[in-house]
Amino acid sequence: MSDNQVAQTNGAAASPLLKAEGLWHARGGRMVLDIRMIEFFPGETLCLMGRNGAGKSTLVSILNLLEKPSRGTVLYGGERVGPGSKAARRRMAGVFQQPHMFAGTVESNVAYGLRMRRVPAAEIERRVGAVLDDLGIEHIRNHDARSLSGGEAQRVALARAIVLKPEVLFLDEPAGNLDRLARQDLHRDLRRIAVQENTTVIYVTHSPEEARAVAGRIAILDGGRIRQIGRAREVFGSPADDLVARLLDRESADSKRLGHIGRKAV
Amino acid sequence: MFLDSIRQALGLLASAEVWSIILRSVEVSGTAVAVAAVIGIPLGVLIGLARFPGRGAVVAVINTGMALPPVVVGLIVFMILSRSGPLGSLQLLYTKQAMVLAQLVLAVPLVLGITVSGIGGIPREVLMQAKSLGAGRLQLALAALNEAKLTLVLAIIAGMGRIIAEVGAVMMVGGNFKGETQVMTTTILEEVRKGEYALGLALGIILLTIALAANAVMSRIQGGVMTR
Repeated sequence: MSDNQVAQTNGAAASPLLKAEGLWHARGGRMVLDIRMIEFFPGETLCLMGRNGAGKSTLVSILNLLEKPSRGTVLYGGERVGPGSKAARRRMAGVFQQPHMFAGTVESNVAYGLRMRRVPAAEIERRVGAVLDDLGIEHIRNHDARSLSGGEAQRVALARAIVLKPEVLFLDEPAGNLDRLARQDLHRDLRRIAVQENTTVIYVTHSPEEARAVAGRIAILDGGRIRQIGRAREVFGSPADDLVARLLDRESADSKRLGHIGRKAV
Repeated sequence: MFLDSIRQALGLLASAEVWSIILRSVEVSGTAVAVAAVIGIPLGVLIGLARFPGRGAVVAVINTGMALPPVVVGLIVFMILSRSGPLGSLQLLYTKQAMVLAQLVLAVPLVLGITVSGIGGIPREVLMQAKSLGAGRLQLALAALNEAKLTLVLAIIAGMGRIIAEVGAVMMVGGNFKGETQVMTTTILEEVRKGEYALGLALGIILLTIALAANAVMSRIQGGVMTR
């Protein structure tokens, strides 16, 4: 089954696992999101890119069922869901840019979601141990989670999410505070885990380099709207306009014509 | 005369009468603060987490309640419990229960207000993270309690500190009857009126010690919260 789904990744034939329709969201009287339709397929990694305030984090928060959109629907496996849909929310997990640790040890942080799901203690012990091992943070198991370095905390935040074996994993700029090597490690672990578990990954990033490393598809947001969406290769190959090109650190047809204005601004 | 009084006061600290007054104070105020915590903490978590229209007004009312004058609270509780009042038939006036009730009214807004601000001060991202990892409503509230637990200790100590030192409310609804409803503060008032300073001083020393201890604990906790 997983082979089949991987093969179908990005394919129009697969039915979407997660889908949002007619999404419109305002905050403080200002429109922050206006998306007619966006779909996420099983096992794919989609990168959400855009400037600050483009609506990326709001979209993640709505898709993760943390926030209710002003208008529009979110469908999980074809079923209408919202912030009250605990069961659907429990099939997803998120890692955010600031890896906020809960009061307690690394181990208790990683066990948090499993405890919320009332998983038996012995199984929690086993799964937490396996994930800590897998991500190479076994040695900090009993450390106070609030005394970790930025890199360590980010790994713990990732461990805390993937220990749940989510069907959808949200990563909101997870590498923002990481150095180059730590970022590469994160991408490597992420690819391995996503393939192993056939996880749908929704990855928010500013970095074209990161998008190249992880994305199957890319969606570019601006002013709450989708500017361009498509396979990573296609989006990188032919940015729809100057803004997309600049975000991807590429030259668009426009900017070439206008004498590298876009490039200077980057 | 002053030195004499202090010498006498220190001597009185060993007397059974003084200790029975101290214990009554602790019993009345301790009960009130315990009940205030049972009411104020869950309600404070609820208000701290919820976003609803008029929330600002609710918080303003709570904050005003934190500064309620004890005499006014005493007066209102007195009127409610007096024979012709709505709860007059319970015959609670001039009992320890009436004193607990009056101090409860003083302590609840304090515990509530500190809890609301403590819970409101938890970064939104922490709660979103808990939710994202699958926390349900009640589990989210428990996560919030866990994040703000030091603030909750602070709320209880502040509540205790306020009511054990107040005199207006307990005087009015308790009546300061010797051996029955006399607490530290009312005794001090009474003794000084009679021109007897020693017992007042002895109880004053105890009150100061309690205030000092509460302060020490609070500043330790606040220091801990700030270095987070």
